[in-house]
Amino acid sequence: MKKYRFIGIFTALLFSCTVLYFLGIPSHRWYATLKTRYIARISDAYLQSEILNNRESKPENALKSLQQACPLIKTAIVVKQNRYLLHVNTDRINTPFDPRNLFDKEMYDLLRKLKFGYGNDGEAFRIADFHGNHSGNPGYLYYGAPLTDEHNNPSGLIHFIVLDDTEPPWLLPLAALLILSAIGGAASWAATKKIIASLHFFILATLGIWGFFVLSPYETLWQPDDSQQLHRIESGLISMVSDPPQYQQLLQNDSLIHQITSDAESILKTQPKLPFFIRILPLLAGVLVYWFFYNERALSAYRAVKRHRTAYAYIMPAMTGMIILVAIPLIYGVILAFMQIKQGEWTFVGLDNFVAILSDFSITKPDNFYFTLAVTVLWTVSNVCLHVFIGLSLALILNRPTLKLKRFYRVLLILPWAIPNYITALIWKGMFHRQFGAVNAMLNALGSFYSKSIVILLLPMTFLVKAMLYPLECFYSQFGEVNAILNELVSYLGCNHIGGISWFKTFWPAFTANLTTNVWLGFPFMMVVSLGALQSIPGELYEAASIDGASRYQQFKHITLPLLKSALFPAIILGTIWTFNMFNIIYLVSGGAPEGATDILIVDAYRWAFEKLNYGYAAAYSLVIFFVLFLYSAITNRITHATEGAFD
Amino acid sequence: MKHLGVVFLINIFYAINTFAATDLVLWHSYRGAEKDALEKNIASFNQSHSNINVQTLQVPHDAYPDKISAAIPRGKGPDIFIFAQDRIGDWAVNDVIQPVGFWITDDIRKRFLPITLKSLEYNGEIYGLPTAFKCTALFYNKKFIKEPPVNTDDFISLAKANTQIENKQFGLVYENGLTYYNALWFYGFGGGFFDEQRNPVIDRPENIEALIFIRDLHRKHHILPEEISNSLVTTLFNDNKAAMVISGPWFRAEIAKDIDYGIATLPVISKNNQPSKPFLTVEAFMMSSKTEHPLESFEVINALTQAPYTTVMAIEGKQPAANADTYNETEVKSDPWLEIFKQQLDNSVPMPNFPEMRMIWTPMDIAISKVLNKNADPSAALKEAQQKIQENIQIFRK
Repeated sequence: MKKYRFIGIFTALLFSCTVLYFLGIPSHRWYATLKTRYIARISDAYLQSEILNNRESKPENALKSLQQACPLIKTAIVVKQNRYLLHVNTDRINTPFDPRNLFDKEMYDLLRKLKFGYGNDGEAFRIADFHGNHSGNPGYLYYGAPLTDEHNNPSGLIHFIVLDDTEPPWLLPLAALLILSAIGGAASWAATKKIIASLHFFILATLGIWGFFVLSPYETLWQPDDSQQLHRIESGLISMVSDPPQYQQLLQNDSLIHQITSDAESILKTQPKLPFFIRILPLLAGVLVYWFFYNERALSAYRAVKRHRTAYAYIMPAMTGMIILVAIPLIYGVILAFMQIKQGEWTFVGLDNFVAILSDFSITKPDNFYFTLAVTVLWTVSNVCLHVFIGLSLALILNRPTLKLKRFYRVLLILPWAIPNYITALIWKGMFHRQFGAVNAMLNALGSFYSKSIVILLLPMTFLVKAMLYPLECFYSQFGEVNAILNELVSYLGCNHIGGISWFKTFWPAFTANLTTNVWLGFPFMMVVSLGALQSIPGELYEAASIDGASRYQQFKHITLPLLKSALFPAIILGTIWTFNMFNIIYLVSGGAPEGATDILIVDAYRWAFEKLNYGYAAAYSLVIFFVLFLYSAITNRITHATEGAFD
Repeated sequence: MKHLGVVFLINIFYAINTFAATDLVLWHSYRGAEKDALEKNIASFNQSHSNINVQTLQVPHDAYPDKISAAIPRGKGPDIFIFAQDRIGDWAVNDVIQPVGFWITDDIRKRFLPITLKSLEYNGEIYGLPTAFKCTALFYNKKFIKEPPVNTDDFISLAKANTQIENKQFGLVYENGLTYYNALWFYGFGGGFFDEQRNPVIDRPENIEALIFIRDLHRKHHILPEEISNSLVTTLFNDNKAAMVISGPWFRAEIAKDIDYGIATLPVISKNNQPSKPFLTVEAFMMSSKTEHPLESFEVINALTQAPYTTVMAIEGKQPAANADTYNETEVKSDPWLEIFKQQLDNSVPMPNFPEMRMIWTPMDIAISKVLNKNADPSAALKEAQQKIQENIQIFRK
């Protein structure tokens, strides 16, 4: 049976390497584009000056001298503004312009892009993708540039067809390996173990050699610095063309152009080298796979899969779904965290994103990581405490056997949980409106005396925390207005205030508004969990305790709480993670007001991605959030043994 | 057997016929009257063009741009879609949409109100054909206001006269916490957000002046309610509690039937005698860069931006049309508000379509809310916003 496995592994390797190769092709083309791009630009400058300065000169003549300057150019096409196309080469002259010719459109678009590529700002221009292979002649690339008149209006267009001969000889090793695998299969079928072993070795070696070829298209990806080299030539050229004396010199001196052309080419021809360890990656991968499959543990896993084939077949659909919906986006996000994406181009930046996040210590700014982390922790702790306190109290009340209308209350109390949370969030946001909101209206209706007590009831936690954080507040400008809310209250209690409390103007009221909304949303979960656990506590325990003379409180402390623990701890961990990432409430109720101070980490991550368009940074941000939560659950798990039963 | 052969042939005939028509997918996020008008247009287009069959898909507006950015590069998106110009820069550099300048002849160019086509330009290339434009104008309740104000002095005194805070009645209601709705003042005072090199110039003196004006509307003249949101604007106007509203054409669908209202162009700034200039967003048909039928796609967008389709969109969809000829049609002339928006168009600034623009919103909103709610110094608030935006843009460009 071993030989089949061996052939399977080998085919899989071969297949993945081939896929890798084909994935690499576009970047290879990109490289070729860069090369021709410079030739085209040089020629453009030349041709442009030729046509502009010598109105009588025909494009044919221009092409002739162009070809002298750059022998790689086989043909040029000129589109005048009256939209007639002049195709200058041996087989196609004075062909009318065809608006239905999509290849011409592609050229036109590309050249328009190119024109703006070397604009006045001198910024490097990049082409996202190259679609030049329309001719059906593999190995040829098309390129060109637009023409402008003296007022910088587009007056025409030229494009060039340049021979490209940099295709790597990739078919040869592929064919060789296919033959080898066939031989290997036949040999291992018949021969003794020794031969198989030597064959393994041989194929590994071949794989290693082939890896050198397969990875060559990735070279340009590996050394993005060569674009800097190119940029140097480019800026030199631009300054030459824009500087009148040199421009004239350029016009008169064919050899100068030739020199520039060959200079550019020689720089471009020095191909970047891929580091050796990358080149031997296929070999290493092969060794790894061999090691993996000959490993006893892996073999037993393989046997287990084989034995329970039906079971694995049943979970396949679910597994596939999980991989597509969970695993792939997750991996994508992790990769993204190490990248920088600018204008659709990905650059590997290593840990730069993480360093940028974690090394910024301007902690008085509301979009700083540590500031947001502190707010998030405060948000989570206050929420979970209130959830558990309210949920547990209500559960204890509902659990009383003598309570009437129990079902009705239960439904009523679960209701907040049943409503989609963004609807609740929007309702609460409306209720916290300064002039028209229900909260302020209620306070108004209650009059000044009652409102005093209500406000104080509503914000006790706020004041408590405020008192504790007073030293911090002096430091943070966000909280600097310590007395803002008190002033607000005083003017409000004076009852001549039009607006009532402005909930989203300062940090603490905004935080309280968020907190109120989320407490409203969050306590039913804790209540349901506690209620379920309470009902599973046998009544005999309380009976025995009361016979022993235990008071109500003692019963609660020594029977209820310990027995609730196993149900409550996982719920608290889960609740913490939910609250930690409670995007909807923060985003919809306060929206970060004031100035993003009430934003929690996940909202900040969203803003980095979709408002500041910094996807790599945002991905790193989410990864940091993940690690914070991971750390939290690992530590709590260890301390409380909350999920002990589940995974043993 | 003979019959079978005939049936077979007919089948083949039908198959060829159906294969002959090119299927194109068009995405849009229109609702209500606009959606009905568009679908009516598409149906009549499909009827008159046997070679093309356009199918529409309405995508919820919130997720729409992100869906476009995600779907098209993976080849799953539409061939054509309708969107405002503000994402063009993003989509052009990321190769989501393709330029159509290659096909735009002078005849096509002349068809549109010039500014609408101009605002679809990014790096010198045109990325679509405009169908409609949206900018804010002044809506007023005729119960309170007989003659719309010409300049801001009139505007403020009119608003003051119609404000009774005890009754929760206000002279002016607009979302004054948002940069979008305040753009008219910034541009009216001669300010702006970017210079020629796309660098932010938030803290220029004209902007400071405008921000002081915005603050005074609220804090000195007391003509506005607090914490104005989109729904509050509609509610107050429909309850006869707001004399004037600054909003766009979409607001018209939200006004209750019993409100007697008028529309006017926005007032001239009294201080410098310059018109106030709101942001202009142009909705355009754009073509996916991954479409397999670019020629047919262009044929569709070319047709849909001409009469009679544009007239249907203007009359039934109540859209201010980007096609200049539409305004000469008698049906359109009978609806005076379209003309008002066209006049406002002349005094509007196309919202910049380069990606840097998206960095403006949040810091700018924060600066405005600081000045409005915390009585911060306008120039300090704008300086802070300038710094923040510059930082974000630097990170973005890096």
